[in-house]
Amino acid sequence: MTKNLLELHQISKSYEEELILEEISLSVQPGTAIAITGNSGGGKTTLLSIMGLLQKPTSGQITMNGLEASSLDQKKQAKIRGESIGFVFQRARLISSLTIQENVLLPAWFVRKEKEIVERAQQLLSYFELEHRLNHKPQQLSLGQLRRVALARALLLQPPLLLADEPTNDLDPALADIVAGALLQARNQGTGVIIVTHDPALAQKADHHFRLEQGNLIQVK
Amino acid sequence: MSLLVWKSILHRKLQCLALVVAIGLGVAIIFGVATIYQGVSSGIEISKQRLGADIVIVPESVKLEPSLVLFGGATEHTYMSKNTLDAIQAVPGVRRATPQFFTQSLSADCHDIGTQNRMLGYDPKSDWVIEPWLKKIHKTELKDNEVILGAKIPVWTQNRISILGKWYDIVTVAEETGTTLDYSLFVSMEEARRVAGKDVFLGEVWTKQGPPAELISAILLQVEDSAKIETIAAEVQRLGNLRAIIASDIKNRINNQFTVLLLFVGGIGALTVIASLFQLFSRFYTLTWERQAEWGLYLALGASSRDIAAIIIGEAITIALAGSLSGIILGGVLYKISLLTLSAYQSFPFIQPGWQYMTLLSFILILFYTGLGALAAWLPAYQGSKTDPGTVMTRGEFD
Repeated sequence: MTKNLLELHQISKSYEEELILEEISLSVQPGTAIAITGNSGGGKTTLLSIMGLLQKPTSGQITMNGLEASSLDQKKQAKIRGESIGFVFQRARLISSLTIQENVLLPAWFVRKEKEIVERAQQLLSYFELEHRLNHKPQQLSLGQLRRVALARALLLQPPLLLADEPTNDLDPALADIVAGALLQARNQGTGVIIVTHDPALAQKADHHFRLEQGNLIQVK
Repeated sequence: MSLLVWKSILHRKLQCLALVVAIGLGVAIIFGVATIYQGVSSGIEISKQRLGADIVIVPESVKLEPSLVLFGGATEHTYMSKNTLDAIQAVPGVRRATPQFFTQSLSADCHDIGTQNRMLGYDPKSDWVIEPWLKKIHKTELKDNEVILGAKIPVWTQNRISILGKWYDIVTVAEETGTTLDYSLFVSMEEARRVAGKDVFLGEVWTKQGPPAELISAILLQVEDSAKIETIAAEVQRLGNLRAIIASDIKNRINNQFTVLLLFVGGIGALTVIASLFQLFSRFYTLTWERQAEWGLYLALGASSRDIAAIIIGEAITIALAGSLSGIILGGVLYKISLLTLSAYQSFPFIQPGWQYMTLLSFILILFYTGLGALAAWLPAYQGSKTDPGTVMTRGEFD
């Protein structure tokens, strides 16, 4: 039996009196892509944040590789994030003082893998057709290019778990295909991929599709 | 991590430059003021020890500022009769007195040693200023072809020096006094008079005032411990045509003038320091809020709270270090310019502080400012390290 990468056990989240997520349980296995769709403001990004140990749930447990992670201290959670989770945020979230290559290398700096990883950063940027932009600054790139840089950054350390928040939002169909292709390629290489999206085509490409409605996760596919 | 710090500073060039300049100015003023104050204090102390005169007597017609007479060595080629010495020695309360003869015509020679240097003839029978330096080389007096160089006269490797066509043996170099004695060449009284007598430019002076052999420029005087210096100065002036300059008065006046001046300039320096610190504190405090999403991203990517604190403190320390280092360099320039400017308006005893003092002062200032930089960033660093990593999902775009 394949060990679960990530397990959510009855995760609830409320802000003040409002319940956003209600006792959600979910398992993510390596090499699986899961799409989560739902209305805007429905709690998709909150759920993704909890999965990525960026927010604490109001109740419930998160297990990563069999380790109960939600009650760990900040330092240990940061270590798990750095080593095991790749993030693609809704906005590209690039540091404007750094070059494109440096932005991609950023996660490696925090887990101290600087030297051996430069070549991989260049390969990823080349895959996303940005090899000529290595020394440019984010403000010199288009929105689509920024998204691809953010994706390259998330894939740099080949994390076992990849969390993507609206990765194809605002992209034209051709670019959206490139991004989707990269996510599914990561899935094919054994990464567990969770995609929060409004894009039905992208959701359709995932192995499992859930819809978040009124705080509950309903399986569509 | 250091690259992140460096890139962030470069990205905010103008803000960081403003901080560096503010810190630099504060450090420069403090460095300049502290160095000049140290130089003047040592100068006054050393001149007290090595000049050793309570009163300096010059002809009444010498209208120069007393400080110029005492520390500037200027004489206006105005002389008095050598018999004045006997009258002075007879004043009750005078412990000892010694005459000196100055000439400043040392620049007409092919071996020009500079117009600021003067020849000073001393009287071996009564002198106590030159005597200690002679004792060190086991001599009792200088021969006519021997000279002692002041501490700041350029060193002559062949141990000989030519003055107005005559070669002299350099017997020793005097210790630094912080006065223009440092720019003097000490010879016997008779030799100084002979050199002055031969000087064609001074011919008119000797015609008016008499032959140099009968003249002296100044008398240095020490009083009995029980005597009152002011009373003796008044007695001396009553002898007529003489001007008595009380060394301690001039030194105290200079000391007070410098204290006031340096307190004023130092006060401006302190205000600059406070302003730059305020700027540093406020800059790093607002930075926590401005860059919360950035800290959130770092935390999401695996940075620990400690990494965030290290980045914030690293930026503050780098800016403080750059500011204080540039302040030291600027302070060195400020010190030189201030010294030249002050010297142009006022003669004062000055001993240039040694490298040890300057290095220690620089080290203390750098340490102080870097420490304050770290302190300024401590609270923002603490707050930054407590940033909720979830802010990366919710906050707006980065700067």
